[in-house]
Amino acid sequence: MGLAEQQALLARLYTDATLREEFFTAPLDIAAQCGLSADDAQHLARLPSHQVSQFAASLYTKRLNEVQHLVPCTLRALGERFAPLFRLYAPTLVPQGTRKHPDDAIAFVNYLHRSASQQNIAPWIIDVARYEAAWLYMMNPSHRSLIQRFRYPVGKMIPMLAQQQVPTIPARQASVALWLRLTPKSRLRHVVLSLPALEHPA
Amino acid sequence: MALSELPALGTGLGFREPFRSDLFLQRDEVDFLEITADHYFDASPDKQRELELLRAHFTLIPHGLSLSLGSAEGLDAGYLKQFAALVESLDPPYWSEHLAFTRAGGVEVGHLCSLPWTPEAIDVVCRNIKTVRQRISTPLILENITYTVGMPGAQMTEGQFLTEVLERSDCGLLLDVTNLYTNAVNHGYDASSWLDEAPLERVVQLHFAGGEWNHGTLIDSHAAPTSLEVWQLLDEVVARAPVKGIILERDENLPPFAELLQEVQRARAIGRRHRRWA
Repeated sequence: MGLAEQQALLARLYTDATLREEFFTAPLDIAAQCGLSADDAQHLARLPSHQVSQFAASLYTKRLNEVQHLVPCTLRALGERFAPLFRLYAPTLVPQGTRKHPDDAIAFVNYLHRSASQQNIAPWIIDVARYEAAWLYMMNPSHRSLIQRFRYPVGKMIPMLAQQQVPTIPARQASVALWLRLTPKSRLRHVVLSLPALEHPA
Repeated sequence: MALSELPALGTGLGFREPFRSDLFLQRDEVDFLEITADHYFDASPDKQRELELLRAHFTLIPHGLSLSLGSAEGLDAGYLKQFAALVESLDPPYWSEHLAFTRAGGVEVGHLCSLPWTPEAIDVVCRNIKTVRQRISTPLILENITYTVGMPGAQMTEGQFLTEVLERSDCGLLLDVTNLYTNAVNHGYDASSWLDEAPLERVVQLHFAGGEWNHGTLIDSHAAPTSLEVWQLLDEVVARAPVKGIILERDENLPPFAELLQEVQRARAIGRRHRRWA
């Protein structure tokens, strides 16, 4: 039995909805295309489709829950839109590695940023998401510094969201956030500065 | 070291950051902790300091999620290196992982996937454990997982599969009582009969937690109080197996810390009643 080939196909069936649908339509054909022997293909053709779908759904839910935990203010700001937007993003990436959940959250925020106008996501929500993604990026001790500009006062919005208060559409006020780690082992320093509005000369 | 020589640790918790403060205020109520090893790989300085603080006050058992001991393509060398460094730094009496695979063909599935109960799968696991032992000599115990997908092509029972893996690799068993109960309910078999076939003499530690029903399927969510059925099964296991430690794995929907301690204390009382510890 080619266990390596079987596991490779299983891993794709659990994470790729399109392949899963194709497989359960023509399991022997798909298994053969994935390099399985005829015997191994026959084995996997007996996989109960409802069980595979149920497991795949649980993997997706787990992935969604992990990202929600990592960007809680973005979750609060998007509300019911978070889950459908994540569902649109999820097929674009299968997170890998020991930092897969933070990397997944950062990639989701990047997706929100790219598709903000198409998905009609308010710019202040994008700023909230970018701010949380920046924290996740800087949690990696090999990252030493980061400066991010925001169009909205993230220093005020984040504490409100953290206390479960969704701000009404905030007024624009440029802000700058700095993250700094002097050495890989030192504490992460952070400051948010709101910038005054520029005044036109009289 | 023979499994029988491992120290009796008592009862404890899987460490979760939200209850860190409560844990230190009531640390005398918890005998030992299990930590999720992956949370301390590439860790921030704050997480490193947290680990040092935990280590200063508790025996810590590192529990891995992604070593993928069942992967036929072999182990991830980088992950193994990080795990070995963690085990060396903690110097635990034993460490644990799962009898499962989590990655294959360049894809990380993101969760524990079941293995077929076949001689080939046994060979794969034992080969991977041999590789592990070149880096980590501390005793290893392996956990039984829940499985949604019943792998076709089984050539033996799960009990036979477990027995052969553990005997050939000389590993202990981390018997997750909740996982056993969950599988028994979902796949229609008797948990006590499963225990009859399991290598109970190799049990070192237990896991237990509460689960939830979802559309007719029992889920090991670790998000609810432990059910009466799991308590009864845990009592049966402690009576029959030379348990050294029991860990409550509550991950989600955390109640007040006092409620977690009640479950820890109840498990401790079960261990005392069956003379597993004083």
